[in-house]
Amino acid sequence: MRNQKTVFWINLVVSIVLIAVGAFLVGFVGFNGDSTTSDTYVIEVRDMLRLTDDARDALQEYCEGELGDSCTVLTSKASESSATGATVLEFSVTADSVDDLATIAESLETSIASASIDGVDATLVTVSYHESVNAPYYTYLWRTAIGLGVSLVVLFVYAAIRFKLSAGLAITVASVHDVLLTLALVAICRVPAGVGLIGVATFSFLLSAFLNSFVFGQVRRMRKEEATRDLPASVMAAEAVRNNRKLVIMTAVFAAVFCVILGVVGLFISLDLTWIMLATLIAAVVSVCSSLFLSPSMYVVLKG
Amino acid sequence: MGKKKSVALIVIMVIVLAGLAFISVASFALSSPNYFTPLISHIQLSTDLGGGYYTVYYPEGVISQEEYELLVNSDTDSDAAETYTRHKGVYLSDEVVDANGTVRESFRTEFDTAFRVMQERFEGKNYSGHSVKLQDDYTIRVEIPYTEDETISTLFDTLGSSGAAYFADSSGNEMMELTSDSVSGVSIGIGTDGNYGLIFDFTSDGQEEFADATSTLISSSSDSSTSSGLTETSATMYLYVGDTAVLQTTIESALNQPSVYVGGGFESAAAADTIVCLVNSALDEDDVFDLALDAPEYYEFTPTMGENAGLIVAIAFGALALIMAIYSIIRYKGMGLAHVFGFITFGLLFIICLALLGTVVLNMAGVLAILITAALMCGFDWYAFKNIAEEFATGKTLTASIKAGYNRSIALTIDVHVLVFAAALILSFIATGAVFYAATILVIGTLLSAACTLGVTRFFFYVLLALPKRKIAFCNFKREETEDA
Repeated sequence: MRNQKTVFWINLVVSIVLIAVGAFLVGFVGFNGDSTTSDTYVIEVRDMLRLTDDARDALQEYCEGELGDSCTVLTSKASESSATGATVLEFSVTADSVDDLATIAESLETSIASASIDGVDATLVTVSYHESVNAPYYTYLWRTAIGLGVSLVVLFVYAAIRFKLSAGLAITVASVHDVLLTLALVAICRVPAGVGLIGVATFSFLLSAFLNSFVFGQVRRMRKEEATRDLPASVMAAEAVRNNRKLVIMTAVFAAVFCVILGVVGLFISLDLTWIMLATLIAAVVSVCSSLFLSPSMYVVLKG
Repeated sequence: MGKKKSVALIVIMVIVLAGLAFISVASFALSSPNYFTPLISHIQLSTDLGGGYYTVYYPEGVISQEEYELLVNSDTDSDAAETYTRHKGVYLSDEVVDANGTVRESFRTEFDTAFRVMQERFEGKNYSGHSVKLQDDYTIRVEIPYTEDETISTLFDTLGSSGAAYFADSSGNEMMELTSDSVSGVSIGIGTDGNYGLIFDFTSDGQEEFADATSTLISSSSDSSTSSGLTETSATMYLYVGDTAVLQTTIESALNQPSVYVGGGFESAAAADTIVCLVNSALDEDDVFDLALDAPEYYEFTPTMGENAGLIVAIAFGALALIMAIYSIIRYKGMGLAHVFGFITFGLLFIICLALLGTVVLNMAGVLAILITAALMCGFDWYAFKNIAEEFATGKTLTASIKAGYNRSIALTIDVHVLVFAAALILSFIATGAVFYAATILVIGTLLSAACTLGVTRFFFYVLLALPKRKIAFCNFKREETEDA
């Protein structure tokens, strides 16, 4: 019992500290450095002709190399004009100011003009720059937050009825904890996961509710069975964790394997994919920890 | 169940699953030049997995760097260098900035309204992964997912229309202005010709006004004779937003009713929906702006998650399913095999639902929703197997253990599926954009997972169990085989 209480308080304190640090970073430094949650500077390189794939890749590689000398390239994107077929490359970069950005663009244009890039006629290439203001996504974010809030109430009511009040409370608190801790860890690690994080938060919420249900399903069964119904809450919780540990971990491991596969692939095709998978992996780990440590120990504390 | 019956059932089920798998992933030639495209290619993808289009709207008086350079370099008499002032990546004309180089307040206010309304219009289209961003302070950059349902240039031009909405005659004379006082809302309707149009719900004042407008239109139109000798009167009525006629229809009599269907001849619901979004946003006077927005061209971009991201996600799911199948069979043997059959059924039904339900768009959050439901399906199948093993360990017969194991699992299986289903349903009702689509996928996945866990896997387990002689070993249990089944 004392052991469970200690586990609970350690979990709670560590989580609160991490969430507070994450909240501080979000409030004072911004969430992360990605192109969807903060204003970004974009260098646009346009070839008036439609380039072949090889020429486009060569131009993209050249620009990334040149830009890398004066700033950091966050993302690069290729597109094609509908009207003229012109190839457009957009590089999201870091810059101190718009003036700095203008200098970088000018320097890139000069560099391209004097370079020899296979399949690219430098006289047809223009370089411009833009400042892109973050889309606020307020409507989208607050509606999802309300949806998650209502789902949380339903989760609490349903779990409190089916698993009893203290278990329902533990599952609900664990779900909130998992979402907040996932977002905090993403903020602390400065993972540039973008607006897709709202999907990760939803994933974290549902995975947490799902994994916690394994543990509390067993607790409910033990409370019903004659041989175990009189056992103290701490023993029931410990037994439930012991019995379901493998199942919880295996389920999460498969989710994690998926994240790792796509995350590694993302290293080659697009870092956005890697970041979103890293955030999902964090969510899976947090959910496993909370269902095996936080919520059972909280249940014990609530049961006194 | 008898062995022969069991073998027959397995053969039939394997043929059905193989057939479903074939039409899900295989592409083959039909009578030339037609090709059968696999169901998986019909799944609509969001901007992150399937790419899309973007355009930049330039308000009147704002031009791009390319256009400015063209003006300056192509015309030696051009006064562009004096007329335009550089502002970040764009050039502002002297109609927009005053002599001090400050952007005029009237332009700023009008542009702010235009930007807000553009956000609302594209939000109204409920695209997955779209964005409406401010670029260089005075241009609007819009990104939408790839679509084949409507012409992209028309879509961007239509949603960028400025001005109020009104009905007009063929000369363009305004006959009735559409405001929130006259129209309570506009929605999509389907005409008798199968094409889409707009349904206008009028307020009582609006109904009267529309009746007067159509009556005037009919009375001023000329009569024409039909082949049967009857005289017909008809007139063409136009729906304008600003200077653009977005729809035209033929009126044959004065219409005095609270709701009116106006056929637009739209072949796709998406095209009609664009006009609905536009007109609805123009009903509120506060949302009407007069600043002309020009989107000179649009661009096609690759998925933000990388090229072929959709295909790679599908391959990752395939690899994961393979690892899971190997683990299941090694860990649970016959029970694991039943689970693999159940999971294949789940996966194929999922592909069919995603491909055939036109309202579903797959995005990265949707991929996570699929992952959650796949985890639900695996978790509860394994949970049932664990319970069967525990029951068997108490000394029960295999048949009794299976029955008791499933009975022990059913309550929690239903509980968790109900919980996830309820959460997904709530999110799909409340959320918009990417989360709406992810929640819709979650609703479908939870239903499929429940059906496959509670029904399909169990069915396959019973069918497979009839085949082996050593049933206990088939389930990876250890005890002297003396009994039952």
